Amino acid sequence: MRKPSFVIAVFLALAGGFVGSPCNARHTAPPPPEAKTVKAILAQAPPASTERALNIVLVAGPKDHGPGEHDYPLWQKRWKVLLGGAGDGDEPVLNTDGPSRPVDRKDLSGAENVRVDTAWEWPSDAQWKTADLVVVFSAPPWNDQRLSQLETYLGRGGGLVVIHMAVWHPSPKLLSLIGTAYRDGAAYRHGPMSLRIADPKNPICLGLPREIKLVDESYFALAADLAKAGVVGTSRETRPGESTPRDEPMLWSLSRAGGRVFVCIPGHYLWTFDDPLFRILLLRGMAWAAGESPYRFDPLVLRGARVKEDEPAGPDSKALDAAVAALVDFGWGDSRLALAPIDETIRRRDAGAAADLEKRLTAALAKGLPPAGCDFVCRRLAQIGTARSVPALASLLSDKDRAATARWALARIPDDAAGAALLASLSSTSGPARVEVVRAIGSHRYQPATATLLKLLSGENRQDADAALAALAEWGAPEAVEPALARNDAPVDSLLTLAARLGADGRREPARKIYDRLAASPLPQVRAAVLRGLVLLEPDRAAERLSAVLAGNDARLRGQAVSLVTHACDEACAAAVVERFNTLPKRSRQALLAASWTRLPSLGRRCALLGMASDDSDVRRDAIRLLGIVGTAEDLETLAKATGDANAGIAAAAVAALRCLAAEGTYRTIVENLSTFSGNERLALIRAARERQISQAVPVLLELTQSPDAPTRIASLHALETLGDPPTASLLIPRLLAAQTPEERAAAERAVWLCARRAKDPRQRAEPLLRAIEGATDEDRAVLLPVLGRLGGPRALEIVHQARKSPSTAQRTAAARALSNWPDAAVADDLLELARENENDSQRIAALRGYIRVVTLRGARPDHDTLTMLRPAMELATRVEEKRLILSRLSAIVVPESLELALSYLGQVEVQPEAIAASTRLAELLLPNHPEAAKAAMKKILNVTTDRKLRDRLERQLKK
Amino acid sequence: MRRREFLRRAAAAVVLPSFVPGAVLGRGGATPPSDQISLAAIGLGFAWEVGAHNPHARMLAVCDVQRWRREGAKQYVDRLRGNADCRAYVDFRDVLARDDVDAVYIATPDHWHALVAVAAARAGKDIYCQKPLSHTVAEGRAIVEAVRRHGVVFQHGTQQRSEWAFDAARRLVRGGYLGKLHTIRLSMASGRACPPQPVQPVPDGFDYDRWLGPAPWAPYTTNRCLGPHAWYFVSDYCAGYFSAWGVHHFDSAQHGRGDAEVDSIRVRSKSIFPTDGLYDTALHFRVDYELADGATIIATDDIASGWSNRTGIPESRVREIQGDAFGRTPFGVAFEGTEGSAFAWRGGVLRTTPARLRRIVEHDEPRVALENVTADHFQNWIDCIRSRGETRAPVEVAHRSTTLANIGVISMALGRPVDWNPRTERFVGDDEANRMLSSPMRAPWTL
Repeated sequence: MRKPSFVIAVFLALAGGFVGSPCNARHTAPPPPEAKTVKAILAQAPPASTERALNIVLVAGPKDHGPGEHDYPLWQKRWKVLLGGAGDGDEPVLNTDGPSRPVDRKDLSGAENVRVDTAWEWPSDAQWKTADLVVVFSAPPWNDQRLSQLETYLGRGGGLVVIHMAVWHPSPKLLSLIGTAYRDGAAYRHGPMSLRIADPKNPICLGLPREIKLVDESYFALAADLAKAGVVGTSRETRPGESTPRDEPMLWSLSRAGGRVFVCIPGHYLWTFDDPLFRILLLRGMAWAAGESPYRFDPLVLRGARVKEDEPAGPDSKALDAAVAALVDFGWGDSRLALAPIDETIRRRDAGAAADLEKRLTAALAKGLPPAGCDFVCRRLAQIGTARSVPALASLLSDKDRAATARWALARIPDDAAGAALLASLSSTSGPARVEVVRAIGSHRYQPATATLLKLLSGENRQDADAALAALAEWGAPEAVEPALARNDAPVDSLLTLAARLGADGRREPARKIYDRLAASPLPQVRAAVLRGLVLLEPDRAAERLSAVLAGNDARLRGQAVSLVTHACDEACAAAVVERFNTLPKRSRQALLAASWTRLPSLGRRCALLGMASDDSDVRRDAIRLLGIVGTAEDLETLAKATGDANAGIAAAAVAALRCLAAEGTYRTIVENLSTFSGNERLALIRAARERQISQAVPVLLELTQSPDAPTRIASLHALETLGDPPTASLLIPRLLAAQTPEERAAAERAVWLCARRAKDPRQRAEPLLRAIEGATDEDRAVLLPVLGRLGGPRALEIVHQARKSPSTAQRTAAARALSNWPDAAVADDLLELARENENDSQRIAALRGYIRVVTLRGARPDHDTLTMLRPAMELATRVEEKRLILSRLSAIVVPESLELALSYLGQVEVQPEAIAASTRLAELLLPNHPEAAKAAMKKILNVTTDRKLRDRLERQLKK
Repeated sequence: MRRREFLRRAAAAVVLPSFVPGAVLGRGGATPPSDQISLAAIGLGFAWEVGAHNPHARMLAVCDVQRWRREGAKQYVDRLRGNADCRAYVDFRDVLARDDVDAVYIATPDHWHALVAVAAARAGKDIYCQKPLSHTVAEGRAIVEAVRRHGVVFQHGTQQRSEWAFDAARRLVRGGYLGKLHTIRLSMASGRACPPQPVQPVPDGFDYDRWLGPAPWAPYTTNRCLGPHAWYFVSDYCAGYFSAWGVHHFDSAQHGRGDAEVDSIRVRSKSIFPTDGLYDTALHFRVDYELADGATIIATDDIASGWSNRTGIPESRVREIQGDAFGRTPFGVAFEGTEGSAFAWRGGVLRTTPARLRRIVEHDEPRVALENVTADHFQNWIDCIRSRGETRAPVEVAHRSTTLANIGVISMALGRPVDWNPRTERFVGDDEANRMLSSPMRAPWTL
């Protein structure tokens, strides 16, 4: 795409940005410089003071080019972390281009004594007032007012850095402030840029090479006023209509209106910001513009930058000599230490060093090595060997102890000389060794061996023929088809490989011949292979072939057809098969539904939607499961409807699918549809919102608590108990007071309680209820008190105590409920009193249960004291339910007295199981410290239990 | 239950008498033998006996090159089934030649996986193959081709896919609850060192040459092949816990990413290898996989884990290579996104940030005990054999997960970053690395 004129550029930017530019597709990042080179440059810089605190503002704006270009927002995000360090919510990433590269935590600390702020399009007034440095990388909406603001800022000594597109604006004022501006005739060029250092003496350029290779975009023939500027770097560019290139300024520094300005033209591609040499220039320019030593930001240069890692220094020549010499005595099981320099050299990836090593290793081979040494060398030559290794390796092919790894090494040396050596050795080998050579030729894919291998294929020796066919199949030799088919005993797999390779090379006819021969095989796995081969060979007939198989009864072929639809055939074929979905037998439909998650999400969805229309409930259920994986936000309604299906399996599948649907926009659509759906569909969405923890749904759910539909109100209250926060509790109190049924009231009570309980400060939890209760009518107080009791606290207790003394029965009942709900043991005495004295049975029971609960809460007091407090409850517990509750709580009080107490219940038939469980647990826990009491207890339990497993367990413990 | 304990119990089960459940005999509504899948276990490694216990399958054959192992296994199966139908084999090809065997469970050492799996597929047998799928990328590709060519049902032994916590973490990632996924951290066990070992006589009843199989010949010494997990650490057979065990985590990482393919992966590694001795696989490592979609998978060994061995390498050196990843993630898999994170480990361990995310995935009944998870993963294979459907860990997924380990091994061996093209399954511009994609096979073995 040609660079648009300024007006067009502005228009496009306003209209939503440029579409992807092909520039990026044509160019790639330049090779990274070596880390050691960059470190050497940085090492020349003197230390820089970090004493002055700096406020930096990074300005970005809307992206206006394709991927990887003009990505102002990403640059802002990453350089904020580079300069200012990673704060909460910042991604710990410092590179701008390509996948995130890991960085050490210490590199995320930012520059010392620097605070970084960001601005979108233009800094705020406050930012202009406090900034020491403003860096603009965007196409800012320059206008006179803003340029005046900039001038004022420079006038108070502020620093400004302008990058790339920010200069592309026609304005004399901008020209006067930064030394350049757009004008008609201005030009640009994408591609390699040789950035020449114009003034090596400039402190910004300290240590840098005279030329830096970038791949970026230059702007030139701009309006320029650089008479008083210090040009740092230039690029040779040819202006439109001219034939001689000029050195065009690309980076410069200048002082204007009392402040400092640094301008940087490169910056089109993201990779430029990861280039450490570019970073040196830009970061030093920034530091200079801020009035600091240019080297203040040097420590940031390598953080997340693209560099070629330092190679470890390789071993010296003497060490290599010693290692190669050690090969002569190297035996199986020997220490490898002496050979380490050989592997170190290979790791260096230095072509010269590798060639030298190859020479040494082949020389060692030629002199003769023991089998272990030879094996070691062959493995290394397989890795680094070239044609130069071939003679030495070939000489081993006739040595039965050494031929195997030599053959293997030759098979992996890509040079034709290796293949030729293997072929040449065929004439001097026979039997199994010859078969191995043929295989090695096949692995090498040495096609000049075709004629020789064809002779073997047609020969008498079956092993040779089989190996030759396998080798010829490796490169799909068409000449092999006839002789292979002429043999009735040719290995089927080699034939299939040959056919597949021929098909891949577009040789349909010979491939087809092989498949036709094998199609009649009695072996199902061969018929499956033929189906696959034909589907891939003839894509135009694939859908027809697959549909026919899916309509048939052969289970193995059906599985293969499904696998082909979901893995191998092209999109059109898969779509054609799926369109016939509802004509297929049930098993095929279910198989397609079960496998469609692996590929083709769009076709998988189509398959699922077709399945939803099936009259078979199993198919519909499977379709819903698939829709939960491959569905989109559009499918929410379908799934919501299915939750009300009369078939329980379908309804359950739909609930699960609503829970796991991962398509983009699902959250938003759920929230939006909460108010538009009705009936069961709405209930399903409310449930999904709750299960998916969509906190954005809270406002809609609050509205729905006033719905005329009771199930909607109750479901919304249930959802809010999970999603709401403490402020939600206050909003729910009116709903609690307005509850129309006991079920709704219970749901509202729970929602208020759980939302209020989420307050971090425990003292604040009861606040919403305390506020509401103040001035409430007696009737409302009676509703609110039980919830207040669940939250507890000293002020709540005062109110409950007052209510206990109230003449109103409703108030007293509510107070009793509040005490029974209390979260801690502060009300133990009240509860015991209620349990003893209350005339109302249900309140007395509730109080007793509450008492048992609060006194046995963990960690409240020493176990002995807890047991003492529990004893009165035992006296009061006359019903089985309370006795069971006591026994279940008793097992948490690990003292011998508890055990005694639990044992005393063993004789009571109605609570015997609970007594056994509690006694067993206590006995086992007490065994280490109170073995006698514990063992005596175990014996008593054995007298009453008939549970075989428990008896075994106890008997084992008694034997210890 | 921890894996070691599971193994100990399984080992004990081989020698202890067992009862014969009626289900095996087709009573009590159980699958009658005629409808059961006929199984064979080839290589009696981890959890082979899960098939013997499955009520929908019957184990007709066990195969191992160690006599005591195969005979013990035969007795175990016979006792369990109340008959003497199970036959013991030393050569897997004899097992595959049986028409009455429907499916095979492969738990050989890694260097044997490809040979057995490819032969099994050619014989039309459905396959459950223990992880990792293959010893090299080329072998993995050969298995994929054979499985797909012959249409056999394949399950990879990466049962973390069937475990609640890992699947729950996946659902959080896929549901977008963590925001944009940027990092997946995998923490696994360190390697093991072993000084040079003396050559020893091969024990009676051990077909050592067949154990070596396609691997280069090497003299016998116990610590090469018969010690606990010994062969894991010799590069001719395996690449250490990084691949033998780490593939579980690589697979969980893939699972969490929705098994999506990417266009390129840059692998950077830092590692410490033993400088001498029998074992030659990485002791400590940090391997970063920069995926083209912007996420990075970081695999490190956790020296604090009970699974890790004392390698003698000072902690400071391990810190040096692992950088900010040192000690950051406990044993398990952590998914980190822009909005939150989720850490999963066996036994139902799921920790999320923010903590409330956990509630989103708590609806399903967790399956947490290892033996139950393994049995469930195995049952999924049996179900798919019946339906001829796709398993939870199909062969391409297995290959992709194993390939992550194998290319990491190559980067570590070369000591440099490598660029992997998953489409072509070749390294970009690195011939040396490409030559390491396959491994020699000793005669007469060939794929």
